[in-house]
Amino acid sequence: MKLPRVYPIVDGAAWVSRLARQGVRLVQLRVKDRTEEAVRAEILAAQAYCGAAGVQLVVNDHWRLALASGCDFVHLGQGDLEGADLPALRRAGVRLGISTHDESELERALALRPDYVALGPIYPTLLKVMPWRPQGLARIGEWKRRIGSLPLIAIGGLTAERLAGVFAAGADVAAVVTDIVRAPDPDARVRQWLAVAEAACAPASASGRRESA
Amino acid sequence: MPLLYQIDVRSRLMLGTARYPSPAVLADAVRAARAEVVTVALRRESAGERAGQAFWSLVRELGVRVLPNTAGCHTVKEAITTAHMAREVFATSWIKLEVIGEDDTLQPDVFGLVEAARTLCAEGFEVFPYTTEDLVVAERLLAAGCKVLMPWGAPIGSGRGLNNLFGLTALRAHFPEVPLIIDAGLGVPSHAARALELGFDAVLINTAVAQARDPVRMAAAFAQAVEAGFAARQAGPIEPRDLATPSTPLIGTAFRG
Amino acid sequence: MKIQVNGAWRETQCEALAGALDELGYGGSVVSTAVNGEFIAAALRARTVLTEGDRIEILAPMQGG
Repeated sequence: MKLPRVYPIVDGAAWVSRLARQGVRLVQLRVKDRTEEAVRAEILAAQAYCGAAGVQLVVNDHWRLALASGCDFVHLGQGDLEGADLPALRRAGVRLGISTHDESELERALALRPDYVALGPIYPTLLKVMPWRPQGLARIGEWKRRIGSLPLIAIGGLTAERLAGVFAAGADVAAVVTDIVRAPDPDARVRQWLAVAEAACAPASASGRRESA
Repeated sequence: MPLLYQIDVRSRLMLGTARYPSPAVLADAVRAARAEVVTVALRRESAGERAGQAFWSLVRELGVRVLPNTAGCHTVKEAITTAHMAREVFATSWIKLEVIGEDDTLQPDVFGLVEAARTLCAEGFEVFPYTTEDLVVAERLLAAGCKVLMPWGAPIGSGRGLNNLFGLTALRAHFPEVPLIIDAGLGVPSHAARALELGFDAVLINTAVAQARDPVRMAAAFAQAVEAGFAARQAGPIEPRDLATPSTPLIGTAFRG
Repeated sequence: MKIQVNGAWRETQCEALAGALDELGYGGSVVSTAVNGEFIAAALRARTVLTEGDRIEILAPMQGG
């Protein structure tokens, strides 16, 4: 399965709509600390915007609500895996992305046959207080060798400037929160991300050198 | 123009898209009006009929923002369901909420309107309620979560202009910070100019343009009127008086004692 | 089974709304659906099971004021 290169993670449907308009084709809705009603409303709205724009929506954590709303892709952290009814999700054809930070988490994730594996934090991240040291680019290569053709999502402290390096190291998709949503001009920043991702992933010629435009 | 749910819309003239002689005339009128927002609706479509798809393509090509309406809805449930359907089709959380109470005047059922607004605001919709000049209803709509109000000028399609000047002026005075868009019943550009002179933020016009003999020319005229009314308001007009006061000074007038 | 589609009685062989939409010729159109007055999101059409007498609304963009 080939996923779009740029994967913003946002906390509300309004962001989903806004980024979809800038050309984003893959987005994660990560809603925390809100009532079930509010989460449900966000999922419903996000679905409406994604459907119309042909954007793949991934719902973080709230797998029951995602299932009930007909969402087809869910992201679960290692902690979220505990209570999740994975067979039910499989039966409903819901695809699954799983976060990993170390070897044992990777083992656990691969055993569940996910549709993507996320690795983070690649760089120090502002967003979460994390017990893991930054993974660094070398880890990306290691992970990619382990998971093969499964898409590898790199996350944590990514910026437009770091994108090319992350893809070169072997990541298939770059996930991002702060660099876009906290940018002074998020619309411009996400457009920049999309442009950099496209340039960084342009196919090389047979000789190994970049084709000129 | 104040932000409408955080969106910067420059044009104070919005257009409805119904009752035009043809899609081409609609498109020309929207361009002549320099409108940035147009209202749209949902209707039953027969399979294989492409009118809806063609219309939606036309609107997208115009590059305008859409404000879907819940026209034809008489109950809270109908309005809420229609809003959800509109959000899915038009991919916007903006909804012009109409809950119609009476079919001769097409006036809002204000009780249903407030209830539907409350539910829709809680579900993340950005509601533009079609309301009257009633201050209490306005209060309730704002408390329900609406950040913009659309009070009527006169019954939909009537062309009567600003029917209740006292009521509308009171509404403007009571809610100075709320974007107020006059919607319904305006007939000629001078009505629109008047609305802007009174301090309303924008107007929404449909029948007066669509059914004019020359809709494109009328759209342009409305655009000019809206600019004139806004400029006049900014320029600080004189207060009306009951008695005459000469404009030419009397000092040095000939033939006086 | 007999269902009402936009106010008119129709016959459908399909169990789910998604199938009924295709059967009725709406495949590929930009429409929104409701069953018995309840909005049914596009993502849920495949698993919305129809029963005899259900009232389906299939709405598309139209001009409006």
